[in-house]
Amino acid sequence: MALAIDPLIRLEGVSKIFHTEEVETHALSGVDLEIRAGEFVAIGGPSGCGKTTLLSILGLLDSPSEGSYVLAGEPVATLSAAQRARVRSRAIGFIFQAFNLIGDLDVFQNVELPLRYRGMAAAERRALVHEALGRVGLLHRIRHYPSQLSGGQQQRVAVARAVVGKPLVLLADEPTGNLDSRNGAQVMELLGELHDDGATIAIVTHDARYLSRAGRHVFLFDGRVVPHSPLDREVA
Amino acid sequence: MAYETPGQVTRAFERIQAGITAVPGVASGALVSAAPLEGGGSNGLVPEGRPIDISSSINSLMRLVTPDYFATMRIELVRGRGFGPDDRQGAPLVMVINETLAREAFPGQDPIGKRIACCEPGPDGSPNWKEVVGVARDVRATGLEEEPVPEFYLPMVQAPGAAWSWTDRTMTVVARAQGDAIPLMAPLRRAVAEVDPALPLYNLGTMQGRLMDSLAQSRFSTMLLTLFGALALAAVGVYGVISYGVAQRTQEIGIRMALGACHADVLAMVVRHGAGLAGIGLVIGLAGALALSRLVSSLLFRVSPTDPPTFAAGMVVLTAVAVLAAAIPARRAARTDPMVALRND
Ligand SMILES: Nc1ncnc2c1ncn2[C@@H]1O[C@H](COP(=O)(O)OP(=O)(O)O)[C@@H](O)[C@H]1O
Ligand SMILES: [Mg+2]
Repeated sequence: MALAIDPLIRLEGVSKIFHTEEVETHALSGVDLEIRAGEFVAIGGPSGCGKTTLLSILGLLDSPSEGSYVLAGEPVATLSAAQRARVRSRAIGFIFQAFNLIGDLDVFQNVELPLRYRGMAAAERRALVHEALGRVGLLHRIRHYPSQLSGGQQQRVAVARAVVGKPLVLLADEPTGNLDSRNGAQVMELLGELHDDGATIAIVTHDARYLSRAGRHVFLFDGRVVPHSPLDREVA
Repeated sequence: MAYETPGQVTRAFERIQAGITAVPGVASGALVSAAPLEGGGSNGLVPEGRPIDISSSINSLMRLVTPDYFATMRIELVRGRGFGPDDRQGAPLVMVINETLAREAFPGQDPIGKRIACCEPGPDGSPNWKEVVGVARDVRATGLEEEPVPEFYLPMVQAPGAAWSWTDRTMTVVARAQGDAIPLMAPLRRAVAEVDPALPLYNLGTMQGRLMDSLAQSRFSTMLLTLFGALALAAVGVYGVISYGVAQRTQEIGIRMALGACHADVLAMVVRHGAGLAGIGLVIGLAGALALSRLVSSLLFRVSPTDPPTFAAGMVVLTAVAVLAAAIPARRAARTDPMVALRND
């Protein structure tokens, strides 16, 4: 089966250069990265090494300055902003460090948002939202507003929002960064369960405690992928 | 009938004057080159004692009248006299001036007997002096909103030859009815036709009607001003609130885009917000308008303030303005970089 062998994500020679005033920042330089469907990849490295930039390119929030990006067989490196938005709404689920729930919307409406942007019918949206909230154990908070939830609960709602549309890949940027260790562990546990159910996940974290869940570790240093890590191991 | 000389023109108007006063039911009648509210041609006048020079002239409106004009229009002569049968061609040239001109030309003095040069050169190019024989009360010459301006009256029969081309040889017949004015219109028309069937008598109406029109016009422009003022305010208000909202919600818009919102989604969201504001404004405005309709109806002419089409048109226009005002910040919002969703940690 060709589909199973082909990587879901393939970056080749990806560079990202930011131009600010007279300074050029090489946030990524010649990054090659493949992620297969169903993999759980942790991306680590010191602050400023380009982790968020890499995730933003993987999530089609930004496009590379150089290199190619093939997502599920489609070359996506040179898409316009509008085309990227379209692919993003189908293929990507984001989880942010700061939860990023929308304060004016209740839990149901927050989780429903990605489905609305796909133009899905209300009944179908309802079913999927309930399923996703059931998964993160927050169905009883469905009419609460973000301000009425704890940080851990907010991040679980954010996880539900990321998975509700069954995206091809889940991207999380330091999802436990704003949580205490108990709530952080709970969110990581949740991601592990999603992975067990077949989700493809790429997570940026520098918290070694949560790395064990990931099948593979990618380390960045100064915008390049470096092949060292004491925790590095291949999936059998 | 051909009117080749100024004399022929004057004589035809004199016959019309005689004809209209003979119409039964007419208490008095007169001719004037421009009735009140109709404006009038302006001339530079130089009062006696000032250099004969354009810089010392006073710009004034000229009215050619037949003697009964002041009585017919009940324009009070506050000093001196009006015109009479002796103020003929060949007799000393006379004029009646209004109070405003009297104040400007002869401040603090009695204008009666003073002379004013105007309208055409005298013999050998010397100033053409006319003697002020009366001062008439100010009349609003061009509209009810306009302050009185300097104005002077000349006997029609002493009109400078050139004046007939200034006035396009057109006079306005004014008649005061003993009773109802409307039934007099047909006989007045006939009286003019008897002098010359080819002379068009047009734009017949009552002075009351003209007053109403003038009033309606000024109120209409006030209303338009108010309306445009309100629209401009609405546009600025919606623009301001939406711009502020968009700036405040950059992060949220970025998040929505990260979750799959496209340009059109963001545009629609912001414009919907603007329309929502307009909706709130409309509900409040509608309630206010209905509550105040009694008051407002006195300001409107032939339009009921609760007229459904008027209301509907107002709502459509206001909504359109609000949507346009929201469109500018909406476009700005749609250009938000979705990266702000990741970067704001
Ligand atoms: N929009 C930007 N403009 C300029 N420089 C940027 C921008 N975004 C990131 N950078 C720079 O790129 C480098 C990598 O940043 P980032 O990907 O956020 O690192 P990390 O997430 O690993 O801390 C940093 O030096 C950062 O300052
Ligand atoms: Mg980062």
